[in-house]
Amino acid sequence: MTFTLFLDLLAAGLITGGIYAIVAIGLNLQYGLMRVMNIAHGEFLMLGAYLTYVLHTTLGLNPLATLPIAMAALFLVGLLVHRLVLRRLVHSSPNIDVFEARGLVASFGLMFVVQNLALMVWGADLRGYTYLAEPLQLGGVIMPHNRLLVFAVVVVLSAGLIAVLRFTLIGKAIRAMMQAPLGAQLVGIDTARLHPWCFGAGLALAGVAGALLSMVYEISPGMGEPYTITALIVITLGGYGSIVGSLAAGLLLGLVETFGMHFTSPSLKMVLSYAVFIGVLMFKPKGLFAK
Amino acid sequence: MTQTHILEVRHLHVDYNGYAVLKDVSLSVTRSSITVLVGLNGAGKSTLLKAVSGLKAWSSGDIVFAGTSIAGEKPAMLVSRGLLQVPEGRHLFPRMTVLENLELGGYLRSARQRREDLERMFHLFPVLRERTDQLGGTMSGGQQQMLAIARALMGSPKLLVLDEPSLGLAPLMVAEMFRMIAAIRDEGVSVLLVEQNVKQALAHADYAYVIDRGCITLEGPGSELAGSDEIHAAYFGTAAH
Repeated sequence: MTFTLFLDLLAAGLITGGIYAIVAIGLNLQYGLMRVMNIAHGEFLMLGAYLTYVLHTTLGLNPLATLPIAMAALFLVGLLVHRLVLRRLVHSSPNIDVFEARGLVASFGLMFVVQNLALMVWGADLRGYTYLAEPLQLGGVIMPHNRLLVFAVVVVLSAGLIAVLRFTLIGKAIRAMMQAPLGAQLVGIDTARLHPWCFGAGLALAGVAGALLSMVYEISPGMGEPYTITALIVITLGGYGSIVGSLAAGLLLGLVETFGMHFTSPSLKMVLSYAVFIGVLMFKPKGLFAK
Repeated sequence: MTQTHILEVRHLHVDYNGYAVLKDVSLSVTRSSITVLVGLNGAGKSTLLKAVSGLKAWSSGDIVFAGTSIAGEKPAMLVSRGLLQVPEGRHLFPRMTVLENLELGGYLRSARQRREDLERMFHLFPVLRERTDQLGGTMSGGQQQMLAIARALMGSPKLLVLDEPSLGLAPLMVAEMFRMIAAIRDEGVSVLLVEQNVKQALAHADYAYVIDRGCITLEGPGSELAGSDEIHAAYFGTAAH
């Protein structure tokens, strides 16, 4: 393997992994925090992608400028879903395990509803637009501008998110809720009030990931599903409730897939992901970084 | 209710799935005192503490804190009113530093109050100052218990409820813990202490209650109960003296 090829694969792996990380951090905010195994997570990524696509192709908005819109819109969708679905489940479930099971089933239903709504509105065709597709040569690596932009946004978003969680009181409160829900309540953190916000933030991250993907790939109503699976693998790898773990695991999985596909075959992508997943479940079930 | 009592539990009944766990329990905690509640496993101590912390609803009776009923109030609201609990098992934030754990203890306080309280805690628990950057989950049991108490004190409690703070600690640490609790009382904080370590708990109690199968069966000043035959028969298997 030449050094250029290595850099090529490295860059591609980090970009894919960066998207995985953002999607997974979103899911981790839902599962790590309130045990909502949101199977419909990828569907909200898809909505973010279509939102950017529609705003760009009909209103002519710069896709980069649609990112905050996609985030805000999906955040509101998150509040709505929490209000209509999850809040009821919280009140009707006798304990957290029953809530988790019911949340899983409810989100399965949500997946079909959202996906089929998208099919009704946009049809099953692949759609896409061209944005910053001109290649850029960087030290022997040739890469379209849009991919670099995606990576830059992912880096800024992750760094911002980690800074919020690490240095602000509200961020610390969110980590506290993940690590010890009862302890959090007993220091005065109103978990019932913060949960909808965190669910919304999780969807906002899915939405922005979808918006970013639409700059690089073609989109379709079924595009989200594989990302849900990948996000599940990533949060298992990185540890439930660990945001930094999700970031590291997302990047790692992106690299494993990219290098793995190069040396085997692109059709083995999911096999590689599942191999990593099964390996982690067998040998490090609490995540790669668990002590 | 007289204002000499910070907490008053009145004729409290609590059920779990139709099974009565607390039956007509009444007790009160005098301001700036240590009140101890002892009882065997399954006697209803934890249920009572859950009710006091807003984690469990009751079917009849009332709990009055600082002159107002706490019926229907969520834990976060009670914390803001000055009722803090250190639960059994501590429930620290294991992957956060000592400093972060303490800061979150003052979650509802202003940044300035948090800074001042932090200094007070480091003064009261010097071991925590040496370990500000250590992760909560990596400390020894005794240090974790100190951190849990300090975290609760960061919320500026009027009443501190401690559930089995001596559980799993080495004997030397237990003695240190009880000295600490007395020091906290001397600073004007009322303490409700639930303990299985009956001997030590009664020795430090200003007043004590014994709970058995959901009912208060005995009460009196700590020193008096420590010498009672009932306590000795129930906990040490012998009569006093």
